[in-house]
Formats: sequence, C-alpha cells, structure tokens
Amino acid sequence: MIHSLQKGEEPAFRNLVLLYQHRVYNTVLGFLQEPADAEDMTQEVFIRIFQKIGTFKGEAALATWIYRIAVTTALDALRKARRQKRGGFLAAFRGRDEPTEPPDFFHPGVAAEQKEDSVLLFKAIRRLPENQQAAFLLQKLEGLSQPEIATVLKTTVSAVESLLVRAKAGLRNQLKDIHSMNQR
Amino acid sequence: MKQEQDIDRILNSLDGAQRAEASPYLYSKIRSRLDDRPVVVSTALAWRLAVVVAVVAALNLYTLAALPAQKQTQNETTAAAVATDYSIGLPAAY
Repeated sequence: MIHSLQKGEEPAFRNLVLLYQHRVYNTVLGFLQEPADAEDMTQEVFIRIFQKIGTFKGEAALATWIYRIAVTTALDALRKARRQKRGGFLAAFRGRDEPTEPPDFFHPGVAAEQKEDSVLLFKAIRRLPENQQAAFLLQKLEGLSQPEIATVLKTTVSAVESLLVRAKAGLRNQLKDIHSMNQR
Repeated sequence: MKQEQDIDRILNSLDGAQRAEASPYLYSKIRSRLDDRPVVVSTALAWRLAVVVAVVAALNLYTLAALPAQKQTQNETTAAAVATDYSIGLPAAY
C-alpha cells in the first residue's frame, strides 16, 4: 500500500482515506471540539499525508505517522484560533466586539448519561498544556497505549506516563474548582 | 467524599466512548481540494527550469548579435559575385 501511495496511485490514496478517516476525525475533533472545524482539519490532514507520503520511510507504523500528522495539524489550528481570539479580545477591550466563550462540546460517541460530565471534562481538557492534551486525548478517545502515544509524540514511555499523571492532576484541580463553584 | 466521587465520574466520562465518524463525503471533498490546488513545483525543479530558460535566452541573444555582421559579409560576397558575373567593374575615372 505504501509503495502504491508513494507512486501517487489514486485507489491506494482512496483506500488510505477510507481506512483512517474516522480515526483522524475523532482525534482532531477531540482537540478542536467543533465538528465543522474538525471536518475541515481532517481534510487538511489527508492533503498533508498526500503531499508528504514520499518522505515516509517506514520507521514508524503508518497509523502512528498519520496520528502524528493529525495531532500536529490540530494543534496548529488551535494555536491559530488562540491568536485570532487574542486579536478578538483586544478588539473587545477597545469596545469593538464581545469576546465569546466556546460553546459546550457534546462528543457524538459519548453515552447519553455521560454527556453532561463529558462537557465539563472537555472544557477542562481545553485548558491543559498541549502535550498533556495530546497524551490524554490519544489515550481516552483513541485508546492508544502508552508506547503508541510515545511514538506518536516522539518521546519516551516514561515521559508519556508523566504527561498523563500531570494531565489528570491538572484536570482534577480544575474540576474541583468547578465543583466548588456549583456547590455555592 | 462526594466531591471526589463526582470528579472521578467526570474524569471517567470518556470511558467507553464510541469513535466519532467523519462525513461519508470526506474523500470527495479531499479530492476536490487536491484538484483545486495549484501544482507545486519543487525549488530544485524551478532552479533547473530557470537555468534552461537562461541558457536558451543567452543563445538567442548571441545569435541575434552575430546576425547583422554575418548578413553584411554575405551581402558583400553576393555583390562581388554578381559584379564578376556581369563584368561590372568600378566606374573608371576619366
């Protein structure tokens, strides 16, 4: 398949999209928390894959390489959105516009009885540092093991373990604050 | 205690979540975006093309520069041949 992809064969690329589209979309959606943006970024991920497949040397599994591109693309999009938000905040400060809080995100794959809880969790995830977000989302949404996450993030298993511990501690602190506010 | 239980429940709220699915038209949209993109020429290829264009332009300029002198020489040769053929000499001074 990789050889056919590198030769630019159309059926091979189509098969690749069909095989990985939901994994890529689900990963990107976890970061962006907005279905339309996630759809757009999923297309961007596959365009990048199409353009870069010639540089794939097979050092990692194809799936790992694709997850890496998906994470990088999603984080790039988040950074761009943050820059635009900062611009919007400055405009609001000057009295031009109202800064808006992102809407609640309901992941379509979460069971109905867990939806409300997952909205709070996604809000807290959004405030984590990028590498902690990546490790946590790859584990929770895609079910990747720690060694797999380490390969995607180009780091060690112990570093991933540490990222996950810090992510959970950070989320717990944020959720404590939210819980205390709701109790008042 | 209640707080800890609530937090644990929220932290585990993604457990067992199904994978979100992309649009069934995803591939068509990607294909369309790829077809709409301008063809990207690599820097190396662009340099090679630039060198070829420069060489062709230089050859053209050289040929154009050499042309009038060559034409003049050719005209003089033809005139001399015609003069010889028709026995036309330079007008004699009387």
